[in-house]
Amino acid sequence: MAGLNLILVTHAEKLLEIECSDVGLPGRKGDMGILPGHAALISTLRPGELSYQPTEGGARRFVAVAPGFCEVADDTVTVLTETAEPAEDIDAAAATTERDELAAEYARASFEDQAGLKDRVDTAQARVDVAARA
Amino acid sequence: MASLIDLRRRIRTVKNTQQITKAMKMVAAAKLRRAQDQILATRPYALELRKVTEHLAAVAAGEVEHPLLTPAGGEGAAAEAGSGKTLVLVVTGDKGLCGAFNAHVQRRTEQEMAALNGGGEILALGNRGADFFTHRGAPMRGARRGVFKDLSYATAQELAAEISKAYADGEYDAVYAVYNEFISVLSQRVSWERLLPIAREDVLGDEGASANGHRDYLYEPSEAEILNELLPRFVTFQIYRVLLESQAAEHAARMTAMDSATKNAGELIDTLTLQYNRSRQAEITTELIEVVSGANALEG
Repeated sequence: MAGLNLILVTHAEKLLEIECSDVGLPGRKGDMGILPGHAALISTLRPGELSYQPTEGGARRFVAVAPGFCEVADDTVTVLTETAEPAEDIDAAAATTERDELAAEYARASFEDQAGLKDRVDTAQARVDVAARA
Repeated sequence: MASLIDLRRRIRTVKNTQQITKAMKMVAAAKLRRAQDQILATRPYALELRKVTEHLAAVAAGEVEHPLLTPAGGEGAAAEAGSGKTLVLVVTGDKGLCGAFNAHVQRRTEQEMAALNGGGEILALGNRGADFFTHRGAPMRGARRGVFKDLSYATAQELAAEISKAYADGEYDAVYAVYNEFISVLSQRVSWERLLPIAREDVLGDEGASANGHRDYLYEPSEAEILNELLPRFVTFQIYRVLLESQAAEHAARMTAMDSATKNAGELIDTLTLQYNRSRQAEITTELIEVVSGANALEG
């Protein structure tokens, strides 16, 4: 069967356009695995880990993504997110420091402020997790 | 008539000024390039965002209600209950020397404010607008200075969060933006655009049109929840786009202004040089005549 076409777009650039055999997405309600022939789907994404297996072979690749959306249609997976960083581009030490700082800020924040911080903390956590995959 | 030394001095100062304007023009050109690239880079995102929202249209257009959206009953259905106030986002540059760039935005803002009959409040972005409206004592919500020094998506996010919150809390009935739209290097257009509430048709497309290409999508979570997440992002993206447009337009305006300044300086130098050479020659001629007539007097 033909592969999936993965398009990853942030507000600043088109980060990826690649053919792959499967894509893993961090859906708002839980992780999703997309294989070729998947039904048409629109979903929101939580901050987390996007992974894909390039058709041309090689290791599975990981990308840390901020909250966003995805659309699956006709074997094309389009991901829109505010930021996205491939595992190999993340500085693990810096990511960990950032996560710790945000987590501390989150712990100090009032209940109302926590809602606004939640995504940022999760995004930082995703970067740490993904950095560990590189 | 100015003496030779005076003329020489003037030519030198004009030359110095010309060098500065020439350098500024070149800097603006380089920055414009970067700003244009930044705008182009947002295109794919804009395209995809549009696509996703249009897919939502067919299913959700009728029944979804969201505080940031115009009410389903059409414009004005909820307007009577409003605060009667309008927030105007004025986007100017941080610096001057860019022709009428800032002045145009300021004039347009004053017109619109007058039309709002005191119901308007300004949020000024960029030093120029901030200073101008503070001095005039216009009703202000606040001012952000130095936004364009390091313009990033985070700036837009922060602004969008503040504006959306104020709007959702009922502080304002509507939010508009006045900014310079980047048309080309030679032309900018002052634009008056509504940011909030988001017009239903803008996000959700034409119901009729999108129904044709409608297919059965799975929605996870529900359509309404997706829309809830999408709309704030839509606002952020709009603001980001406005800021980028204004930034590109500012550099373009500065480039054009500095180009004509350089040209004017060149013309001035030509005129002054001509004048200088004429008076130099006149002086030499006078001297020669004096020498010759002196010699003639001795012979005679």
